[in-house]
Amino acid sequence: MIPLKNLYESGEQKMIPAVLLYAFHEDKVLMIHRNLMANDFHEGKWNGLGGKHEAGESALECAIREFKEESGCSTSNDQWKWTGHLHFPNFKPHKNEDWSVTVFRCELRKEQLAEVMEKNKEGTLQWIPSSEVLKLSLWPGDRHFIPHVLNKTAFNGTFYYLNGELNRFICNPIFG
Amino acid sequence: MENHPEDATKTVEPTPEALSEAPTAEDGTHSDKKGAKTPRNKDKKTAVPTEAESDPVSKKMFLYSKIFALLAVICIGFLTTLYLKKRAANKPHLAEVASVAPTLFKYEMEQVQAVLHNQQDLRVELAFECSKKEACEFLKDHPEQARDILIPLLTEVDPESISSSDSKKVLRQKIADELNTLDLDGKIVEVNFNNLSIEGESK
Repeated sequence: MIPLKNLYESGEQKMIPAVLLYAFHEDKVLMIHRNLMANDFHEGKWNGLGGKHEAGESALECAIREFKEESGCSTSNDQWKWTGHLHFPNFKPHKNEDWSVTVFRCELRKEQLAEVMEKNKEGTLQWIPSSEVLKLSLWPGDRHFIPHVLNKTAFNGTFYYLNGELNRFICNPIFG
Repeated sequence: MENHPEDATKTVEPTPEALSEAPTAEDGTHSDKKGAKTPRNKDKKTAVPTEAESDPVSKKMFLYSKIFALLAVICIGFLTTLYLKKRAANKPHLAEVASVAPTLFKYEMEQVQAVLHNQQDLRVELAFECSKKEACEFLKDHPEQARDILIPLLTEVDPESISSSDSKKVLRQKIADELNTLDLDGKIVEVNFNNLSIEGESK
C-alpha cells in the first residue's frame, strides 16, 4: 500500500482562504470588471468583490474589510449572509494554490449606495441587473453557482480548472 | 364675238369654275369658246390664288398652325432630352453602385440592461450593421464580449440628455468605436437603437 502524502502538510500545496461577496440593492448586484490591473489573473472577467483572509481573521471579518477596501462602502456584521462555499483545487497552478472561498451576500441600504466607488485599483465597479449577470464574461464555473446566489439558495461547489478552462465541477444546493 | 382692240389689254379674271371647265392646250394656252388662244399666267396679276390664300383669316390660321406645330416639335424634343438625361442620372454604373452602397450585414442583439449612476435602469435593443458577415457573427457568437464593452458605456449615459437626437448619435458612434476595438474581421459601420428606455426611480 502506497502511503498518501499530504501536500498541504508537506507545504507543496497551499490552501488560500478567501471570501467572495455579492452586494445587492433591489434586483441589482455589484460586480467588478477586472480591467485596470496589468497581468491580472482575472483580467477581463467580471467577479464579485472579495479577497484573501488576513491571518487570524474570520470569514465575516474578512468580508467586511474586503468590501470596504474594494468598494469604499462600510457594512455591518448583520448585513452579510453566508450563502455557500467554493473550493478551487489548484486554481493557481503556477503558485501551487488551492482556494477555499466563503460566499456571502448582503443587501445594501439606499443611503449606502453613495459610498460605493466607481472603480478601485483592480477594475471598474458596476451595478448589474440580476438578469444580466450571467451574460457577462465570467469564469466558466461562476455560471454554475451564481444562480444559487441570485436565488438565495445555500450551495457547495468544487471547480477544477486546467489552464484557465473549467475541467470539471460539482455544485449542489444545500437543503435543510 | 370679235376681239376688241381695247379688250386685248384688259385682264379677264375667270372664275374657278370656268377655269376647271376650260380645256387646256399643251402649249400652255387655253382657248375661248371660239378657239382663240390666249396666253396663261403671263403676268403675276393674272395668278390664280387658292381659297386659303385669298381669305386673310384662313391665311392667318394656316400660319398659326404652322407655328404651333413647330413649337410642339421643339417642346417634345426638349422634354425628351430632359427625360433621357434624368434616366441616365438615375441609372448609375454598376461600379458606382458598389462604391456608394456596399453590402452590409445586420445583427440585432438581445436587449442590454445597464444600471445608471442614479440607479435607474437603461434598457436598449441594438441593431448593428457590419461591413463583413464575420463581424456580425462575432457579435452573435460572443455576446459577453460585446456586453463587457456596452455596459460601462451605457452606465455613463446621462438620463437627462439622452432624449436628444444629438446625444443618441454620439452614443451610437461611441458604441461603434468601442466595439470595433474587438478582434473583428470587418467593421461595425452603423449602430442603431431599436428601442431605448430608462425606467425606475432616480436615487
